[in-house]
Amino acid sequence: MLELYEELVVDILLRLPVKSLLRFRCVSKFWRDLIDSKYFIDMHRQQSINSNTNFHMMFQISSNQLCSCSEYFDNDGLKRSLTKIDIPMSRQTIGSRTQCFCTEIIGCCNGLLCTQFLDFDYALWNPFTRRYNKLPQAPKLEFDLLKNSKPFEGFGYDHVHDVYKVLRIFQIFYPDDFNRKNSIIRNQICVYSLRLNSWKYIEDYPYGDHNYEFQYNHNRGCFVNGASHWLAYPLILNENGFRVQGLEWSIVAFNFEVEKFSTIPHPNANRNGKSFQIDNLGGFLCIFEEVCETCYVWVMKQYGVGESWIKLLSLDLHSFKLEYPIADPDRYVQPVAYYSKNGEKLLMKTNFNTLTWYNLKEATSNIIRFPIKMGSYNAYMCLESLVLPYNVDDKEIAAQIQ
Amino acid sequence: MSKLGQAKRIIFLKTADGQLFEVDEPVAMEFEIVKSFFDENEDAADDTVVPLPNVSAEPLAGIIEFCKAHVEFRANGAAGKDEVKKFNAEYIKEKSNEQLKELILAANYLNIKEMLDFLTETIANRLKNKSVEYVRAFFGIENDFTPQEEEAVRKEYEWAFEGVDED
Repeated sequence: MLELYEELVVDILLRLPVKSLLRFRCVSKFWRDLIDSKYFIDMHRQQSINSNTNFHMMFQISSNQLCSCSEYFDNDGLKRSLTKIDIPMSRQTIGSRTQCFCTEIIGCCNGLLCTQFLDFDYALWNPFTRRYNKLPQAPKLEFDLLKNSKPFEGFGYDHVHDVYKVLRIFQIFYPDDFNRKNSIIRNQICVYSLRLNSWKYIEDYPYGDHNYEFQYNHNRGCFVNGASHWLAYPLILNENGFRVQGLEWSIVAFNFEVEKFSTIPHPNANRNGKSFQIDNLGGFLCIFEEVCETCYVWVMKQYGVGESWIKLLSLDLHSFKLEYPIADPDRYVQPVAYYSKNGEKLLMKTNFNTLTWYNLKEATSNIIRFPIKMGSYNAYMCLESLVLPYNVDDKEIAAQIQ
Repeated sequence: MSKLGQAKRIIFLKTADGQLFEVDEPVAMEFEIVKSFFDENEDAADDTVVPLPNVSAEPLAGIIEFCKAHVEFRANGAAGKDEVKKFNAEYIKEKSNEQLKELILAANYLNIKEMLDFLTETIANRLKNKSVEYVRAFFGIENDFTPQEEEAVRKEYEWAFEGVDED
């Protein structure tokens, strides 16, 4: 009977899915400690990223359920790999009664999902290990008026300090002037760090109007290149010395490492169309617009470089099979994934239960009927990982096996 | 090293159990250990026999078969295509667990990155739906948990034990 070197055994384990690894914790004490160690969790995540494996498409299908399928799928692959996942935070036992709450997904990073449930409670959740962690309560609002406004949130990872963070922005146009272009703006901005397990206030936010005009963004930042991104108008000073919203739109980035806001150059896109949104497509910052029944997908090939914006796709919707009549006001098209392993493909979501793989090279499309009604929820590309939704320091084990 | 225009060079390899293998140069150079042997001994005669004291004849024959096919795939521009996947699937189909372990140990010693990756992946695929007992037997690992401890560790992720293949 041959025995393999420890190094080979670890290499084999690094290629196993999460469920197998959680089962194999029972093999021996060493295996349990290894699989639980931060060293192994990080190596496993890195191995999956490097080999482009263990990615899943996640669709929220109701206020308390997700479904996941393997990242690149056709009609058959979809049926094979489709799994429903209950969102555990949605079920809360209060006294002797279990109640169901609506949970919203704020973002997804390295296999962790950040969710918001009840009023302003947040949790980090790894759907692959089924572990979750309710975050401490965010700071109370400074002024009463904020109570009626909806927060804007972003979730991301600071890879320099190896910390997951949540950004929350409350913004109020004050006094309650409905013509917001002339009103004074006050903000309350805080950031949660998983390492410190606490919230703190950060610098002021010199932008306005993230959650009114850009409603298709669902009040969520998209995580690309260590920062959360969204669309907003920079603030300017008016003739009375008050900060008011400017007229030029911008892409705003919040860098999770330095915890600062900045403006990212945007493409020459027309933001007066039927829909306009910013997203993460296969790790690239992307702008999607629909103008005059044509969809345009812009991709920033080199992060932060304005000249690197390219128009990835112009798609005349008349040539595209849609479930709803083109003129139907409820009809929508939205890109959800960008896949370039075997030729460049773009996954588009059209209305409630149709997905389309669009082949960019051949300009052909492959329609996929989604067997479950998805509603208008967002879709996420999510890495299957062992990443913990809580903070554990286990330097001892890491030293032992390194 | 052979120069352009010269006849195809043959490399001689000798295994732990004393067998002599004659391997075409491009195939032998897939083995990092052989490549560095010639890099370090630039004036080595053409009929130098490279000793491989950690590999026996059976896995070496299997490794040569794999590398030969992959060198050809690359030369034909077929790398990454279905043809390669088909060959790889056929190659491991009849291999027992012991044979796979012999191959991975040999590929590790000879330092053949592509083959090592492939075998690591293959073993992972073979184990992913197996039981804890199967995996212990595969690696020859002794269970150092008491039955109570094992039960407690199992309880932490009970759902991970659903849908496991028969051993």
